[in-house]
Amino acid sequence: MKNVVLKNFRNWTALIVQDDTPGRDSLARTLVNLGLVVRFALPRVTEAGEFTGVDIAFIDLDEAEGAVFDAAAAAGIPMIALVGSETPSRLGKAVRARITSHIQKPVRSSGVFTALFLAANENMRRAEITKEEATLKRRLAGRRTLVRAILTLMTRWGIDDQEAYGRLRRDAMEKRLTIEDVARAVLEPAEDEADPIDRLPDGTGGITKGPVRGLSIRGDQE
Amino acid sequence: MKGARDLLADPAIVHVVGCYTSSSRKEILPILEKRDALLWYPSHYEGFETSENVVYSGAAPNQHIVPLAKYLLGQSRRRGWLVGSNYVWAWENNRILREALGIAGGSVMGERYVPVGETDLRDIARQIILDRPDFVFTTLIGSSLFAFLDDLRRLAEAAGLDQAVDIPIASCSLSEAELPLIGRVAAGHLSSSVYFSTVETPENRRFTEAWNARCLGLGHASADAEATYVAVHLLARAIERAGSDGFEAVREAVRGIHFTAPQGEIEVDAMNVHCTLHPRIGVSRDDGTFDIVWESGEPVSPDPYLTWTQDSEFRIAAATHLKAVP
Repeated sequence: MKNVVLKNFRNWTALIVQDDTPGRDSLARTLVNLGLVVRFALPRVTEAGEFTGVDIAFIDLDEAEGAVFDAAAAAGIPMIALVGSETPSRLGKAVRARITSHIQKPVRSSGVFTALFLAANENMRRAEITKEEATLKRRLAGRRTLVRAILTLMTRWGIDDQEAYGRLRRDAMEKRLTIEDVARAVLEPAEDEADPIDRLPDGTGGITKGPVRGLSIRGDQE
Repeated sequence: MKGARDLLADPAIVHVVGCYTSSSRKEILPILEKRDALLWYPSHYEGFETSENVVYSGAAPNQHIVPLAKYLLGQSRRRGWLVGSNYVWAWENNRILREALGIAGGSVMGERYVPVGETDLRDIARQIILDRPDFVFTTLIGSSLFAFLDDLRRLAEAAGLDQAVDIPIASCSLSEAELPLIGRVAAGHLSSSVYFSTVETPENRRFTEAWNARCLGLGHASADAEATYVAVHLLARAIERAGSDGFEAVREAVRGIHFTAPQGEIEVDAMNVHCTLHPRIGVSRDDGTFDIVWESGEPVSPDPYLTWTQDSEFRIAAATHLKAVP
């Protein structure tokens, strides 16, 4: 996915948050030429619901209040600032709102495609990074559990750490679970030793003693 | 550029018909915008623009490179070699063609750009003869193009190949204006264009007769000649409709105007102010004209950003040929 570049914005819905100005018409017309469906909202009355079904927002940086940006950010859509006053107070608002791209006012047709192109792609990259971040955080949180699970397996079967890790990994792959989930299952207290799910067909025990159904790492050395 | 600035310094001038390259158009756009003037741009170009200060009477990419890609795929020509002059016309057309080939299971065997005006292209021609692609797509212009056509034909002959059949050269810019300058290797090249002097319409008979009486020294009538003729007529009609020659009035009046052009009926798109046109593929002849080997059954609406061009069109074009083979 990393090298994908969005190039076509056919049937995307754009919300232009701006008062009725000649520049707004020019922006809307260019967006329609690009295949987008255009909706309008006034910069002072925008509610969170306005962004439902919207794929990209064009927001007047001079007119719009902070709540507008918050609502767009909550929707996770790319935001393009329509910039008039190039002053720190306005631009600071753009930075805090994590604006993805901008167009200078008054809006002319040239520059619109570039802003749209950059914003849509930058937003996609950010979404990927956010997802990766969540994965990394989960991994980090599970690291202590993983270390304890490895130690448990080493003690239980007298194997080395690499072998223990290898078994956890194999089982995670077979069960299509994360290795952290498998590790957690290994550490679950043995409440239900007789659970048939936790038994292998040949009668040897699974390594996961907990009640997590379907988890079993073969105890070859038992 | 200085010419444009001087011309537009006269406040009485509101409409300019002209510009050929995209870079010249982009350069004068800021002046047009500042001056509220309208450019009537009579050239095919690479698209990705819808300026409020331009009326586009030439072909957009969905009316030149897209039909050419589909034509080549329909001929089972899937492996291309791309040679171009190093500027935006070449980059964008090559990108579109590369993607079309990729979608249809074809490939780009080589891609090379040379500076505008470069005439030593023998190494590229030699490599192409070795690679034996199904076709060459060229965006070379001027002397680079003439040198390349000559080199490739010569090397193909030496290798016992019939270049026009075995490795045809296709382009979206070869026109009647260039053919007399190419000389002995002018025939057998593919060109995608909305106009050829050999189009058979009553309007074109009139147009070519008038052209031949006055301008035959420039070669037969070409797409650029026709697009310029169209632009002037659209301008006149828009002024008539607006009842004024003012910038805004004319720009609004031109939207949706119809005109019986030499290429056929055309219409100015109300939204993007490009024209609905008639894509065709021609094969050059040694008398300086083209045999039209394919033409679109329907006029094609302009899609300057290729928003509505679907990937499936290229797959269908490639598959259509396979079905036709017994």
